[in-house]
Amino acid sequence: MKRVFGLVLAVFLTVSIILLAYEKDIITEVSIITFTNSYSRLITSTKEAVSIPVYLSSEDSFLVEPDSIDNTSLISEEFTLETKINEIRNSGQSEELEGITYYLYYYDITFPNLNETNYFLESDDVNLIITYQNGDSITLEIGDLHLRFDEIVETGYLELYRLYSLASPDEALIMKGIVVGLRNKSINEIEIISMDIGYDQCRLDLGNANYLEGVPSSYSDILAAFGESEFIDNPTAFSLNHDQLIWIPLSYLSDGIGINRFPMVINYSYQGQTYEYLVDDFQFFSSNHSLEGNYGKLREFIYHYQ
Amino acid sequence: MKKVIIFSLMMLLLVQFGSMAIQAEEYQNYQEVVFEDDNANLLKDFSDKDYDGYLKKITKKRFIGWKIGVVNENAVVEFVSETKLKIYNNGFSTIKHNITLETEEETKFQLSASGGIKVSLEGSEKKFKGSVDADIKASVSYSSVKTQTEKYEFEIIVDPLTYVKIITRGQGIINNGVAKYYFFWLNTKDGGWETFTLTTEYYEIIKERI
Repeated sequence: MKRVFGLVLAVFLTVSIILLAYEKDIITEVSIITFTNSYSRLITSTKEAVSIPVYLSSEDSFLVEPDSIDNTSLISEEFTLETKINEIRNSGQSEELEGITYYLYYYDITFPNLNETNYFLESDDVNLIITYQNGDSITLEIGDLHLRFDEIVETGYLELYRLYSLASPDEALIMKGIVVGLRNKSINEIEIISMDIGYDQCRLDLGNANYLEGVPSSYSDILAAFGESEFIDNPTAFSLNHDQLIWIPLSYLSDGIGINRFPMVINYSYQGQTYEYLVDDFQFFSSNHSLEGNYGKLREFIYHYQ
Repeated sequence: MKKVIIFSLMMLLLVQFGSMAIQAEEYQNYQEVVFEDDNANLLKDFSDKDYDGYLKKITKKRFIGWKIGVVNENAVVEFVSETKLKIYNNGFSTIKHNITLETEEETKFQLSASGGIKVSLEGSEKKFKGSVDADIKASVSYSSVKTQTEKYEFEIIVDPLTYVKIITRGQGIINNGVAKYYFFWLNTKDGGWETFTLTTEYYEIIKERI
């Protein structure tokens, strides 16, 4: 009897040890980190998404399952807008911060209820609120949004034929300006009145725009040709008689705005009439979504399992 | 005598007269790669004379294993890569096109090798085959940069008889050199190695008439 009891006890202990060894740590909370970025986008369809980088401290969570989402919205002091998250993409990247491993996901937000054209949505300090089917909500700070809902239509007298950016060569990688090729499709002069890129804190400095003879390959080429420029507010219009490659510097009104993507709204005048030419948001260079590289912009939300 | 013959035969078997063909990756096919330092070169541009010269600089022998010689360390390059995408409009009316581009992690970090050094792919990890990988890692800092797969869309009108193309330019870091393999202090094979780490990738859109 003693032997049987001893055997049962040994089996029980062995099974318990095995179960304990294989049992996953029970997760009681998930740390969610977002950046306070600036987004400027031209949304041309209800399917077009704005991708928000989100780091989570767990890969094994319903928080990254689109099917478990009940509703989502963007909320700021200026507006509340219902949105949809169709896709949450695991980037496959992870990064360690203060001893915790975070996994990078992209939450793709679409605007199914906004089918309007020439509609603007702009606000600082926007929060993305996601409510899950269990009734719990998470609030993610995503930064500033500058959205224009419109369609790209056939151009009038102006056409873009080249576009790229030049950035500072240092590690911070700040976009210094753009090289834009504009084609005058008419036989008469066109005046470029303004070029808006959506951001409040960063503008194209038309007052310091320069016609280019060659094709600069680095910002050093620009510095050698034109030097550093001082921002000119309220610039006068510049004219375009034929195809022209132009250097337009970017002017930053505050520090730390890492931008790499924006649309352009070009207002121009042709024979006394004003026209608008829309260029979809173009990504000028690859993004830096590392936690380390965005330390000052990180915002945390902790989700506690109940 | 027999032992000497067997040992010699074994040595001959171990010696690999590897061809100088380079196991090339995407960056080798970039339209243009320009070094900041005019004296720096890609592995594929090493002349036979240079290659032999670099090998001769490796003077210390080993009992068994690789000895590494670094030729270019953390050399900054600017590049123009191949055209990522081209959309033609041969018709007589405009077309609206939605361009989707995706940056891929595997293009961020690339390796090349020649001669007795080979490149291997284990899972998603690229490395030099065998112990030479650790030796190169000890000589130059090379690790995959932390980037992510990113996709974006761009809608554009393409006029009749024009085409739109997207090319990428960028900056990267090149480390390269040569290596000798020793077996019982005898140099049995050698090869060239190179790592390319993409630091920044810029996109450029060009619209031209056909």
